[in-house]
Amino acid sequence: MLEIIMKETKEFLRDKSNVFFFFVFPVLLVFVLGNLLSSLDSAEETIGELRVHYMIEAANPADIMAVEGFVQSITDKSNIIFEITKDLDSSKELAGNDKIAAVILFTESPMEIHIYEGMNRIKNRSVNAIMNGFSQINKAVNVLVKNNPKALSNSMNDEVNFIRQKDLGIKRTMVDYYAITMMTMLSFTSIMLGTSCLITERQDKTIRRLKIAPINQVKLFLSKIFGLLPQIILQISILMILSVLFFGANYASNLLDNLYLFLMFTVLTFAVILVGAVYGLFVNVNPMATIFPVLWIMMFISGTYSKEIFIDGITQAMPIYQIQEAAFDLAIFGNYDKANTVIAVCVIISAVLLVIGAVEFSRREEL
Amino acid sequence: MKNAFILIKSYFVRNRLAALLSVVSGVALCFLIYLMGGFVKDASLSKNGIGVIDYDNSILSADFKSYLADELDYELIEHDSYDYLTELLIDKSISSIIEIPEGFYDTFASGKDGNIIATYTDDFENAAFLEAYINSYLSGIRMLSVGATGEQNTFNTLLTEYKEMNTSIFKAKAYELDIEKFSQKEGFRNTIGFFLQIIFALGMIISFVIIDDRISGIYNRITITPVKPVQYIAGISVFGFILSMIMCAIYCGFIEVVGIDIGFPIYKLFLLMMLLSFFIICFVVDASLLIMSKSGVLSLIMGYSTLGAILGGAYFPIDFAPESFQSMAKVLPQFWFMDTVRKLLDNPLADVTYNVVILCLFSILAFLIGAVLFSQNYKNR
Amino acid sequence: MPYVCVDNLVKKYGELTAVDHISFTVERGEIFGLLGPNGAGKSTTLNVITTLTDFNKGEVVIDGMDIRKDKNRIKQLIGMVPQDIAIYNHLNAYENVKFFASLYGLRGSRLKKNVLEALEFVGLSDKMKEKPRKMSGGMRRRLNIACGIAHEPRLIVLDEPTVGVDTQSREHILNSIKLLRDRGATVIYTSHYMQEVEEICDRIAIIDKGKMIACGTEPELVSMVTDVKSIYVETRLPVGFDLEAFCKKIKLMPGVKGVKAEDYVIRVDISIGQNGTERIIQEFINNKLPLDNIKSEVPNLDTLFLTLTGRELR
Repeated sequence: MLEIIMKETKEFLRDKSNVFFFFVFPVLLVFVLGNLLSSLDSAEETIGELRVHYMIEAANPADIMAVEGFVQSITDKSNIIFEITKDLDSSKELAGNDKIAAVILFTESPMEIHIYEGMNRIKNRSVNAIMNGFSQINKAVNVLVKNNPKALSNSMNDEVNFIRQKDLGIKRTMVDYYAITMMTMLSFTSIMLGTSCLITERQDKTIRRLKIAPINQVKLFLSKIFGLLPQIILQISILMILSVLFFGANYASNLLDNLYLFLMFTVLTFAVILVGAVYGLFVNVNPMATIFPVLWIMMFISGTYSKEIFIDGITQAMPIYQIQEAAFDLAIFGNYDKANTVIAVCVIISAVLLVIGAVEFSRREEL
Repeated sequence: MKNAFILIKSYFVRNRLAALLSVVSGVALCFLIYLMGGFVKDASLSKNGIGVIDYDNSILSADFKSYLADELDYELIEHDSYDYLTELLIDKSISSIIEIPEGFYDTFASGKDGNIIATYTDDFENAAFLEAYINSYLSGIRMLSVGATGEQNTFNTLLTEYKEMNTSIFKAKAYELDIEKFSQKEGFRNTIGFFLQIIFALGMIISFVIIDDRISGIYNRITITPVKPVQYIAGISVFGFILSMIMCAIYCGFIEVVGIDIGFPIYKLFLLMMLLSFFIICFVVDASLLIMSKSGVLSLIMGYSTLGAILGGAYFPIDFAPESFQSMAKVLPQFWFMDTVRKLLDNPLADVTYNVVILCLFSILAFLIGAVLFSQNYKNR
Repeated sequence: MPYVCVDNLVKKYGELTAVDHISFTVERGEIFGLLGPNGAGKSTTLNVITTLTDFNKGEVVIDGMDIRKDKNRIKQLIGMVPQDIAIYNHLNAYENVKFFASLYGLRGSRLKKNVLEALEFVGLSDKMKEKPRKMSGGMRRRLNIACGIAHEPRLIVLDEPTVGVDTQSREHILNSIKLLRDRGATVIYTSHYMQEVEEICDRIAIIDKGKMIACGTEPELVSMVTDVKSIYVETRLPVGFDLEAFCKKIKLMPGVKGVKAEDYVIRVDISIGQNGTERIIQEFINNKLPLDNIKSEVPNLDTLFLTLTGRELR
């Protein structure tokens, strides 16, 4: 068994494409994706200039004064420009063509605010937030005017932040995110190792020599599969170490959690390889054409390449997504539950596939 | 010409799967328009969820919750357990957790400034707007608190009047929004990037054909026939080009027939896709001439296509990327392709001559490299 | 007792009977040739003997062990050199041989010794560290052989081991096979090159359409077809020479079956086994006829093969 394991490892490491795919490529992706999107650690969008047209049809002078006062104060901020308009339809057309952010109509009494939104989602939200702020202050002003006008001057002081932000205790940068997702990608693309371990023997015609050797066929199959274990350990170790050392990625906060994370991915990769090996037993088609596109789509939907991708109902059903969540749970919060589930499921799948694979391999006379 | 045609025909006969794959790829791209469009539509129509823990249970906290749910249309998930809500937050089922502390009402009623405790992760957009809304509301409450001068009964009265007062905000679109057309256009915007990777997958088939021919000796066999070597390379390149044209034609045809308004003429999109396809075919031919093994070519194409798609902005705009990455991206034709598409999406009359010229230069460069490599290979046989 | 005994072997693939009641024996220490056209059932027979395939009926006994009962013990005895080169491209020559030898339980110094000997045996000692992709076709074939013999098998099965190799390599391979036989191994050999089979095989079996149609030594097989050889003598007849009388005289010699004269060539058909060639030549000399050219045509394996299996393409 040891000879087969050594042979598999030597073959793997001497194939330059394996070295690229399973060592260099994931590390490169962590670097590129993590740094490309590093600015998303602090912000997702810039709002830019906010140009708004407004029209006052309100009859109440107090409302008119309130609006004018609000417009004056808001226009003092550099990127927000309120311009009065006399032609509502023309302004709406400008908003529809993304020339301005929105059109606001102040009308009726009590005052109603009609916002005609433009094309830009973020700018629309910004306008809504601004008008909501105006609405709340206006209500309070009206209440105080009616009940205690003297208190008005005291109440309208500097802006106060009423929110005390609570730290969830996690800090997850984009590099951290991709360090985990690329590890998941590595685990799942290892399915190619599983398929090729038998397909390559078939193509090289060496499978016949193995079949006539005086080795128990079950032992032979197991040796082939366990022969891939050193490579799995090497791949995962290298990705983890290089991501931490060179890109500043953080996995778990302590050694034990990191080891457990490593264990989870090792068990996962082993199970995936077994899936590939059993697939390779039954199917002789190039796995690149059949497995890889499916895998890529699954990874995409699971948010492996972008954390923004989340299709409700579909993403949660992806095993890749659940594994990533288990890894995040363990790495960020030190929760073992999901990781334990992943390990247990992978062990069961591995056991079942080992049996199926061994039985089928020894049953087959000619592969 | 006749020889090249014979070769092209033989490639189609030998590689029926490739032709099928190009059709399937075209169909897949069309399907992705709906999938991504639906995703964008759901995202824009869905309510934002926030978790709430109310430790105060007062009239003020009730009014605050009503403000969030009724006025701002948030979906409130109230629960006693912070850990439970944390799970929802991490799972992205909610965008934040709001804790209304005990004494919230008493603090404002006594004329002091209260606060709300908020927990977010990295959903910065939703966090920013939620903060703005909370601060707006509490600014109003603060004014009432000041006005009440520490008198609880006065504060209650002011609060009651505040609740009854209504400055209604009505939202409408300034333009006619056909949600279906909107989702289709957004679907197109979000799927054109996939084209970059799919076209490379088709290109890989071409490279495998060349390598198989070289390894099996068919290439040598062909070169000793009256077929000129350049006809062989031209034949395989045209085969690859036809495959990509099938895919592009299906995709563009679908957009045209279904009536998806992408904002600019469909012929521009088709030509752009064909121009990039030409570059990619030249690239994969170059790779096959340079590298003799399938696994080597596979590594090169997969690496280049994935990194090129990411840096080129296929999946997300790289406007926020560090300067060094943005500069690096400019050496990739994928960047110029995506940049052209985005410019045309934003403005159908945008001047994209510069982008198109650069794409043409990339294609010519790839073609020339192929010609040099090929003639070197041929001489050194 | 024969080393390999195949008795009434039947192997079916669905409706197709690939091997149809074949029986033969291979004596210990002999080189046994197995011939047949494409699709005759040679490979299937070899697959059964090498334990790669099971069979439907019959018996296969190797070194006194029933193949169905003592499969693992029999596997230990067998070395196979397949027709397709079966070696790992990412391992060098030494590593390839070492790996396959280790599958037979060889370890430590004995493994190393056997590997080195196997490589030396096939003439690849100086190419130990080279990978197969850097080797010529002949070298890869020799490496293929080394991988099959490093564990000192008692029964060696070679399936067309000289396909596509140059003359030097072929000679080397054939000599190596004879050397293996001399060292006590039993060899089953298949080839399409009749000269090889004639040169090295002690006994030959011919299979066609799943059936054994002939088995024996080369002379025994050839005699199944014909027992006559032809001697062609090119000469110049002097003026007035009585050719008819000369031919009659030759015809009366013991073993001569026929004499025919055509232009300057006189053809004499003589029984195989009769040493008549010298007497015939002497007769020419006695009659002062010059011997410009002498050629002898003996029916051979090619003739036998084509006669028994037909000339149709398969």
